[in-house]
Amino acid sequence: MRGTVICAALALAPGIVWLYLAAIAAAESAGGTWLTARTPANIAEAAGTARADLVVRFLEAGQDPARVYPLHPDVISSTVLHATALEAAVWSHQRPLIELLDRKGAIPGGGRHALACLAADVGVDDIVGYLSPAAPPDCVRGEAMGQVTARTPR
Amino acid sequence: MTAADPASRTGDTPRVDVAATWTAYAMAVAAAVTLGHFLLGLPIQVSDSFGNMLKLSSSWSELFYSEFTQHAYLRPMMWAHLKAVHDLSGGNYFAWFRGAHVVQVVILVLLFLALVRPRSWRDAAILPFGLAVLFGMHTFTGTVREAFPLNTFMTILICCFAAAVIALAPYRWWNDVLAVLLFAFAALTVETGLLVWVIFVGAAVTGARGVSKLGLAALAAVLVAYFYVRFGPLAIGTPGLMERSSGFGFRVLEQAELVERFGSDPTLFYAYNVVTSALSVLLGEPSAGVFGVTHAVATGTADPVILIQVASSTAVTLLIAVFIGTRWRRWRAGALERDDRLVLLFGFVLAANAAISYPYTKDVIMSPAGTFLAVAAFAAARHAANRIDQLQHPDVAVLAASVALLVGFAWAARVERLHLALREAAVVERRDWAYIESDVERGAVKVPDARARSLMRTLQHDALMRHPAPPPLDLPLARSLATDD
Repeated sequence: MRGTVICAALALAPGIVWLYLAAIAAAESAGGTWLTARTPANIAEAAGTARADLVVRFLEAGQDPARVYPLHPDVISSTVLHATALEAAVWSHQRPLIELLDRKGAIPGGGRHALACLAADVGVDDIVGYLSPAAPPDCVRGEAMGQVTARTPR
Repeated sequence: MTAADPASRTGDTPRVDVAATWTAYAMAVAAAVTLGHFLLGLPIQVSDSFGNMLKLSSSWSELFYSEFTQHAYLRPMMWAHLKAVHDLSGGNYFAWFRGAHVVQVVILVLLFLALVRPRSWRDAAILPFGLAVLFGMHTFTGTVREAFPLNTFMTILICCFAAAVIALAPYRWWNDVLAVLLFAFAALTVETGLLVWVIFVGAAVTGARGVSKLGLAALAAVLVAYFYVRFGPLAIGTPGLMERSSGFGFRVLEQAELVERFGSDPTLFYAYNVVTSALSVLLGEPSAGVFGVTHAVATGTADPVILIQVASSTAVTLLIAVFIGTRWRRWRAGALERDDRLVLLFGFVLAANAAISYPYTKDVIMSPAGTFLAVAAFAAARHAANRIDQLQHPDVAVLAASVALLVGFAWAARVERLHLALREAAVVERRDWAYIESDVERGAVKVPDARARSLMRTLQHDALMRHPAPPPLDLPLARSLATDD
């Protein structure tokens, strides 16, 4: 009897974890999202969470990286609840993602300067250097950041 | 529901509870399929897999010629089974390579059960713990986290378990044939496959008679032939210090540093690798030759969670040590039972696996020893539970149950960590595919021709569009257990 109790004690926690994981696998196989964390809902959230794989998926699905999308407060902050994928990528310091979007032709000619100014406001020097390689952009300090935060009601 | 057991003639296990045995098999297969579900969340990788798949599209003859004319490694069977799956896939790479990996996990678990033979409800109750040690070992992670695009270390784990099953089985003439074929296949797949020979010989030393003396002589002949061909006509040799970086002390040394420090006499470095490889399995520290936990504790930066690996591995080693202590007299008298042989086999595999690791340390290279640790842990736990029944002191039983609960919790955390690592890897690997164009531009990934570009597009589409990343997990302790990926 004592030996059986020892066996049960040894197997209790692993048994619970196995059941838990099996339940997740079964739920996912049936199309459910039980016990899984939230996933990005649009291309801006994907960019803000550095999910380049999802950025490519949303692009292929026709989402516009220059369009403003709603953001969950966890993506950037509770003061930035609306942004484009490009802005979200800058805010999240994702230079490789900016390059990827640039390669896909997603940065409009006129938007390059504004994006560089946002990068300067956020303090991401390598993105500033990438978007404005010849010289630092001529920006009014804080203006680009203010335009993004102004979309979120106080 | 009990049945006579053939092994009862040897006195190993008197009765078999059929319902308990089936329950154990059902639990184990469920655990393997669950892990398989998480494995299917991984795409075919850019690193290691894409380059290998380009090589696999060459002809069989080209593949074998290049394999027998290279420096440092002799792995034709690795390429043979990768090529077989590649050709069978008909271009449906994800389903075949990822599916084959899942099948490998299921086979491994079935062989684990064939070794530990759960035959009672008590055995079935221990099984979740045994599977937790099997899958939760840090040495196991690399066998599922990575693929080339199959994981050849996983292939070797299956060969090692199969060798043990054959060696411990009653003698049949075909065991000898299987043993020689299995050893030849394993040795020519990857260097750790040489452990299959150690398992056959080790089992024979413990009195197992699954392979005859003639079979053992044939195995010795194949081993001699392997070394003769490798170091003689093919002049392949062994990996040198410049092959790759390796952990030493509290950090990883790059190739140039290794040559600078040990180039004139690598004896100390090789000895370090052998000793730390064994310690890694027994104590969970160091990992890949780096004493990371020790450093964190010494500098006061240790998160309690990182101690789980060391504490749980040490606890299992102590459990096995207690088993050895209580069985020592019977061992000396030569009265070995199956569980004794399983624990002794772990010892042989650990020593040989550590010795093979002399050129450089990597957790996954020690995966055979890690999986045999799980076998030995199961046997030791079964034995400990039976001995507790005989104790007269209830206080000791309460203490033992409390310790068992804590040890079980620690291993449960390691199982959870493995599944979290796979889920994180599902995103990391797909990120590599999203950025592959810039990697090609930088020259980090070679895409030499149109055929290679076509394969790259196919695999990228598989990873990003056809099989998107599964959602991240929201599990208790997830943040604390998150891996470095």
